[in-house]
Amino acid sequence: MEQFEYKTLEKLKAAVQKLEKPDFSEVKRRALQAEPITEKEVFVQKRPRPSLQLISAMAAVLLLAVGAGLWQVWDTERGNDSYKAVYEAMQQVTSHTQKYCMDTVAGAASAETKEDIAPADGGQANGETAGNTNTESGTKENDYGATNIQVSGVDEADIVKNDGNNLYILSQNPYGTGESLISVVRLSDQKLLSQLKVTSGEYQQVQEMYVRESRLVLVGEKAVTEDSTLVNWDNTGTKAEIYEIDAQGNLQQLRSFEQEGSYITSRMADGNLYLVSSKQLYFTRRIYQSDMENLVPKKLDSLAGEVPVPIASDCIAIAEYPENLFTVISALSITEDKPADTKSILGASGTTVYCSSENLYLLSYKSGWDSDTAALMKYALSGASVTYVAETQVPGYVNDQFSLDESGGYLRVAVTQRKTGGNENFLYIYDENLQLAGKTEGLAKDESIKSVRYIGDMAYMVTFRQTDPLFAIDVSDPANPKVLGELKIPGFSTYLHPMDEETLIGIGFDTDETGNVTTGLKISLFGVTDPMNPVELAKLTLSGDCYSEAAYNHKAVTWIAQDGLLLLPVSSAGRTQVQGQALPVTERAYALALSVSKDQGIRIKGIVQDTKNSESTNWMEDSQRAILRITYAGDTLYTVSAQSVIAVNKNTLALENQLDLFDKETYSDTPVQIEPYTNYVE
Amino acid sequence: MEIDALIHQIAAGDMPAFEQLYHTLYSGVFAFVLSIVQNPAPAADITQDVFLQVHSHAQSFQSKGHGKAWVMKIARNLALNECKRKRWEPLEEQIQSLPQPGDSYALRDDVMDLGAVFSLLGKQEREIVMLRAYGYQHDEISEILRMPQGTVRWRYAKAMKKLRTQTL
Repeated sequence: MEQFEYKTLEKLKAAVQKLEKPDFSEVKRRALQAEPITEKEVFVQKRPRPSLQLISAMAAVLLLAVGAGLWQVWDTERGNDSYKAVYEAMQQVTSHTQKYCMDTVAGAASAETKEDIAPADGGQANGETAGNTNTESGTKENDYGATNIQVSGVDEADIVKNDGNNLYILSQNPYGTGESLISVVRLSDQKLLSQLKVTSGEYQQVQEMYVRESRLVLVGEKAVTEDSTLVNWDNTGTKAEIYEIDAQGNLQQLRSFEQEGSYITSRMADGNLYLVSSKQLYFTRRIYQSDMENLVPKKLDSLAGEVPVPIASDCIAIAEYPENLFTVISALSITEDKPADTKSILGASGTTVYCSSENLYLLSYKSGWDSDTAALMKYALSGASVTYVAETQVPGYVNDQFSLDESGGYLRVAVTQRKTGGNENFLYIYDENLQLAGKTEGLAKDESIKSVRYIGDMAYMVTFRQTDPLFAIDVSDPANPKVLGELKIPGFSTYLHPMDEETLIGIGFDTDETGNVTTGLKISLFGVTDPMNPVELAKLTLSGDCYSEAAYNHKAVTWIAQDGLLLLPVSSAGRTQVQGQALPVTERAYALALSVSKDQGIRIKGIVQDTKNSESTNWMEDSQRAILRITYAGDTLYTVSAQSVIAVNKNTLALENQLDLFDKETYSDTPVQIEPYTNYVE
Repeated sequence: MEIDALIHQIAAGDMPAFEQLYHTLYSGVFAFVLSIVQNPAPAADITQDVFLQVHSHAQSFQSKGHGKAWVMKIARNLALNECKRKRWEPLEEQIQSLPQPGDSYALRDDVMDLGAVFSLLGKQEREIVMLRAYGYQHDEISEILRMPQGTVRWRYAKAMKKLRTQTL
């Protein structure tokens, strides 16, 4: 931390400290006084025995209802009992987490009334189905840079998309008003074709997007109004908007789809979008079965109407060990006007999502004191429909989506088991019904998995504590995965990219000999021709407090196999140094072009940095012109920042063109200008 | 993991653990809430509520070594909710209620007081800078604000740059 930063933060703290008024005794008094919302207490454990009066009142109401011919209406419209199973599962949440019990407390009387209003028999829930609209062909083999994804054919959303004709760039309004700007740039002449502004009313923030053929899909979060008398806090919804892209690059909205819960992730395969969100429930009061309709997640499809619809009870699965949260998974076609298929699961947070072309796997954590256990749910994807398949418990902590891989119906999962006696790492293999087929012995005691990559029937796993062992594991026999070889080197890779069947590129960090201090960004080349003896063929370390988004986000990695060219966005607080030599760059994030080959190792080919206005001390220029992604088409590389696109020759890195996506005029009609641009112009 | 352990003890009804957690995290929570609501009085009330919520929801806490972030998420939700519920005045007017230059809260030669810092920074920048000031790492901030780590980093760098150019 540099001195200015340190001093500023210390001064801020000092200023805040003068305003603080900690008063624990008051909090303690209120904590002891307030009925703690223990999980058990939230629910009424037993249905209170109805009093005689109530029974007669009920009978009267029943008679009246039947007499007036209202029974049918009541039954289907109210339908409170349809969420009975979900409600009962919610009640059971208590038995897993409950440490001390509360007796039945005040409020039981109102419970009686509430429960008794509910009709005894449930209404029919509307289970919706969607046909398989899988009519489109696979991807084109063109010479352009699509987003770096995990599974071939399963696209992942990103802030920059390249379809071979146009570049689509998502920028956030630099004035911090939550407005997003989507720019469409034609590749052939680097002309800005069109721009679409998405206001903060439509989205809290557009986070990512997809482009497929003539469709653009925006995905982000949106504020949702909740019944605040019922639940607290989580009022975030996930929203997707589908646009038609015409020949001029103009965007026309076709459809919007919202589902409750904060955005976890999404995938797209064969023109079908799969959206995952998670809705956490924090109750403000006691919950009754009659509340369920308001509690279960809702969805809103512009095709279906203007009113959010709760997810039907038969579309809600219940996790083996439920928690008070719903994960929502929707499948919708982006090309056909068919209803979306939405499923939900009570009690799985979906922290890690892995998606093959056929199945979606949700991993959610259940934790105890010593170890972590993940609930693993499997959903089958078929066109615009999603079906719950099975659940199992995976003993251990999963690093990221690359820790999972599906092949031949088997799912491989690499986990770290965090134990008091020291960590151990395992690779588990599950069959298509998530029954355990096989596993390795405990590996790399006291270390944690940092990255995993599966190539065919081999798994490569990097663990770390002081040094970086790279394990080569043969997973061809699901019943008997075998460690073949191991390589120990300093530092660790947080992302492994397959260069070919026998070579891996590792992106991560170098460390000093203690393993406690990272000394720089490290790019390694691992040879696994002989899996018994993996070797480090080459490495390159960039020192000077370097950071690359590529180390933690595979979408920031661009690998052009035919040119042996690796492109990464890199930033450094100080000067970037390579073997003691300073690179000619400023603090603004730049694109690092590396030539990578087995014979020549890793060499710096060049650097592309947007140096416009670099002499100014304007803070906005630096962050807006920080290179975030690098893509290519034909012989041209494109570096993309929030504000600009720079086209350079792929071979010589000579500048071809530079395009600014917006200037201050573009944003001059911004409704709320919290930070007027002119304040910061010198 | 220490905070996680405290939360588990709170779930088991351990009042000293609650007190310890309160004193360990109070400043950070207060500062973070203040960065959102920008008014010391409601910020103090909300901070108290945050700890009450931590106390009452401790049992539903799932230990992932993210206890600090969990508390801050509660703080953020409560603060944002409170902002919505109260229909607070526009930002500029709120700043008026903050200490003015010349008050004893001045950070640097009466120029860089808290209000000035807040008015200089965007909403997310305020949150990130405040969390950084209280020792939160980029990955934790990324979790609390549900924002990619890269974004947290550059927003923070941006905020620092702004403060530097405006106050030097």
